[in-house]
Amino acid sequence: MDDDEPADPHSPTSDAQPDGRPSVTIAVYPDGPLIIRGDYALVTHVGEPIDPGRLTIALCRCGKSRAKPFCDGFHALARRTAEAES
Amino acid sequence: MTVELPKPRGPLSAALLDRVQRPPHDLPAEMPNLLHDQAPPISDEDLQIALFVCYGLHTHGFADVDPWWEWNISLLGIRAFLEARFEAGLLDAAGDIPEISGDEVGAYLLDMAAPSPTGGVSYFMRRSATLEQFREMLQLRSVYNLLEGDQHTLAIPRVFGRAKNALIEIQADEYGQGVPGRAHLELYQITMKELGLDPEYGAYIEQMPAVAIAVLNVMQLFGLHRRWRGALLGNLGVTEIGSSIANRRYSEALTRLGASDRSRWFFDEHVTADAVHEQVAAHDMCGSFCRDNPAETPAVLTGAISTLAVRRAFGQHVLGHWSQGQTALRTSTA
Repeated sequence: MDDDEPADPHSPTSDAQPDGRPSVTIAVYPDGPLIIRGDYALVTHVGEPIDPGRLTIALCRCGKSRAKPFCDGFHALARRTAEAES
Repeated sequence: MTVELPKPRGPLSAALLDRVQRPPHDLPAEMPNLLHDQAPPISDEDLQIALFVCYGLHTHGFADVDPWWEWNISLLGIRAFLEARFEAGLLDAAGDIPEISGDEVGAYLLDMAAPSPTGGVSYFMRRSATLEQFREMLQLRSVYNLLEGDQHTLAIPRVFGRAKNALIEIQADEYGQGVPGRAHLELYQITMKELGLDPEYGAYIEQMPAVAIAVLNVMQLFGLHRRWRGALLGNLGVTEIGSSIANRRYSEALTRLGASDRSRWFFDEHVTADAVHEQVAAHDMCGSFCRDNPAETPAVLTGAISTLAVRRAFGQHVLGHWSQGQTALRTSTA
């Protein structure tokens, strides 16, 4: 193979998809979680794997989830409670 | 899967059920006159059970019913009459639809369908429900949850672009990515079995009042008409939004009631799955669809708002009966 050819996008070592987009995206949802899609590895701070349970995951961004690191929708309840008390 | 025909609940469903057990033929044109106009459509027993039969022909079918009935023109005519009545009831329940742009739809839906901190059925379930009431709820939700996902799959061939990606991302989870035993409907079967209930589809149809069947029928109405494709997305949107909170409450109720870990699996799975789904459904599915199809934004909102109205009526039925010390299941006299 000629060294000047671009890397095979289907090879396991490539970090890009055939269309050039990165293999992992992190989407920031307004007043909501971070949603992670793609070929990610979810691990603890010491590198222990965390079972994501599904392909696309939502990570808590408000700190109130009781299922951290995953979002459990609690941000919406917390906001409603704060509105009711204010 | 074999589903038995339900029993009639009024003159029209009696005539329909009698006819569909015979070979396909033309139904009498005056059959709609049999439907009495006395109950609101979403709580009309005769109407909702007849629609359940009409819709069931398109999916699971029924034992002893010729499959050719599915596209029998005269039966479709009866269905159209029933649907017009049902649809009028839904639009009435939905009331005024706000005028908002596609960019606002996601946030609007998330706010509108957000969970209540101290109210609703799930709040009651967590704090107060008895094991028998929990078993009643499982029965009341059974015709929807034992085919969870199928209703919204009908939208896949009707929407395009980003909205289709989002819809499939949600649906793949509903079906457990195709892994045997992991589909949400299979997890619901486990919960029913753990609580001593029959997980067979339709086993509790006779115990379900019209308003509980309407929760399913509204999805079928939106799912079988392309003009309501936006409403079907709106229905899925508000089905996902707030679902994490509600399912955690159901799971906590089962813990309080001393039920098994396995019985909680269905609800625990929904806590983290639906935290993803509510965002994807609101922003990527409904929001993208409305940006791509601005003329259909009112349909999305109509679907969302009328769905919440049906669910509210269902919740009021259940909590109303329980607060009187009565069963929320349909009894022979109801």
